[in-house]
Amino acid sequence: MNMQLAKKKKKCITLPSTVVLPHDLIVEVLSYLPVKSLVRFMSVCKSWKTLIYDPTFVKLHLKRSPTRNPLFTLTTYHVPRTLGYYYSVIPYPISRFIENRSFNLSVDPYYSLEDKECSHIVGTCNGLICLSHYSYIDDQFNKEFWLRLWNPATRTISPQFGYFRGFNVFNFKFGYDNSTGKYKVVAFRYHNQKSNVRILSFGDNVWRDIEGLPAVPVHLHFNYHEHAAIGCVYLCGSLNWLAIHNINEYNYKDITVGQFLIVSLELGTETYNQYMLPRRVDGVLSGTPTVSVLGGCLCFSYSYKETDFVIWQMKKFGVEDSWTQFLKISFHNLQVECNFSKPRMMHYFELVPLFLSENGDTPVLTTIGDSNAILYNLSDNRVEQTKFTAARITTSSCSTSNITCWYMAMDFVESLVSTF
Amino acid sequence: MAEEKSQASSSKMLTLKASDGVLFEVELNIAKEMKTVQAYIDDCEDIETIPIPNVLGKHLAIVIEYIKKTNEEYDAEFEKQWNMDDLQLLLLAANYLNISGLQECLCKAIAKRIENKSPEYVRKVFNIENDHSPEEEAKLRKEYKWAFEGVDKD
Repeated sequence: MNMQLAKKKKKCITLPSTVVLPHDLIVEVLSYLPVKSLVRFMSVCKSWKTLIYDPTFVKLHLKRSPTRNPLFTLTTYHVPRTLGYYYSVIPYPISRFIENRSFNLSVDPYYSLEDKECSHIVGTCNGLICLSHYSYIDDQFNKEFWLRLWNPATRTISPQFGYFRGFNVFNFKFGYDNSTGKYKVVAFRYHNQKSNVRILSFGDNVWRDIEGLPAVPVHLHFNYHEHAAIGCVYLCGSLNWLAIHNINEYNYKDITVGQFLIVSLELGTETYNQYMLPRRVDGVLSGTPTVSVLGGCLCFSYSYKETDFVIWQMKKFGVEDSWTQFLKISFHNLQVECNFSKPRMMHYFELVPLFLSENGDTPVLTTIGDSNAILYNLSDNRVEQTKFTAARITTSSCSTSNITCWYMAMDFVESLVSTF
Repeated sequence: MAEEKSQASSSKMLTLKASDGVLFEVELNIAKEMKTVQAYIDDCEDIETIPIPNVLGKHLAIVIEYIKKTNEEYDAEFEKQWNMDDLQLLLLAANYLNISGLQECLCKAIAKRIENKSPEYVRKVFNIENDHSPEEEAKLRKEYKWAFEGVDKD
């Protein structure tokens, strides 16, 4: 016991008039700071400058992110008088949005993808946003693609990587493999009942072909809007597609949940798992269900009997028994008109869950064809639509119209993760 | 017999003695929240007075109060009452006594207070000497100009 006392006496500090915290406690305090403050504090001293890029500190800081301010990627685009348009992606606090749904936002030109030479957003993970570019290079419909990794909090961006040329249109998804600590991009396409899947690890920067999907990715089959995360989502180190075994069985007017499944590509092993959907869903669905992520859980949502919108959450990823109904609300109460008579137009009216408020009681939804978001408060059953305008700060006198692409909103956290 | 023993221990009182001699009588289950104290008790079951040589009476009083009351609302109001020196001393106390909840609360509180401050202010808070050369510092300020916008005046 005396030894322990002696050890404790070593830690003993004589109380000075100015307190001096030991290094490990200072590091702990710093791990709770937002990125902007940490970047500014690189000027404090040399050791703080090195600390901010230290991989152990970066990991610690990232671990604090859920307790810090959860954000989402607010995506807008403006249409200038000149040809072409570029998106702006602004990390925006979820709590600030929930509190104040109707406001005008001045968009800092830094967030535009124009100077980053990228035209699309692939996905977000651990504070990184994966961007892609594709453009036609000749009149034979050949295209060229490249990727870039962007950290909007530290304002750093990687050089272009993953370049390839081809005739085919690929879809891209981005995620993190916990087992190797690598960020990976998956390119996939589906055509004529066959799928091609390629993987690239950030760092290796080489595309590798892997086994195709074991079932038909439903949304890709119908060639839905490539930006909407309704058919494939990243979660827990895997990519998850809503799929069906036999596409010839698919009849949008007469389909049951039992015909669908989740095909999950594990980014570490690069192999597929399959998960069933909730068994307790009876009856016929209208339109095509979608997958999304809410509150960190895989979600399955659909229109029921053309009157209701339902979301199920897989509370424990990979555990089929953990599917729990999250909400069921009528389209009428959501103030959304759903037109089920025109199948080709239907996906424009399909509701897409975007993200959840911090306390978990207000999901934010949108429809692909709409430029409004819908907030539904589960505790008091209140529904609100946003009135939101984003104006790009511009020095020119061009008149621009600004459109918010709600269907591109994704959960986001700030981090110090390096883009190199 | 075992039941009786546990009943007795839950209402047992302990005395904690701060560095300046101030004595605090606390219930055993409150004292056990301080893992350092718990370790002391584990070693020596019959002890009645435990010395806390690193912590002033003033701060030990606050720590005990925190453990008794702790909840989210209390946390938010708690940190507002203390000046920066006290917050740091409380952090040292919480770290020594090994109370993880209080340690997290205090780290967040200190971080909140320095979030919008200048590097000069932060150096004073933590007693840090600027070992950047003037050229290095100017380079950093220029390169990360955006991080210096909207900072509180010192």
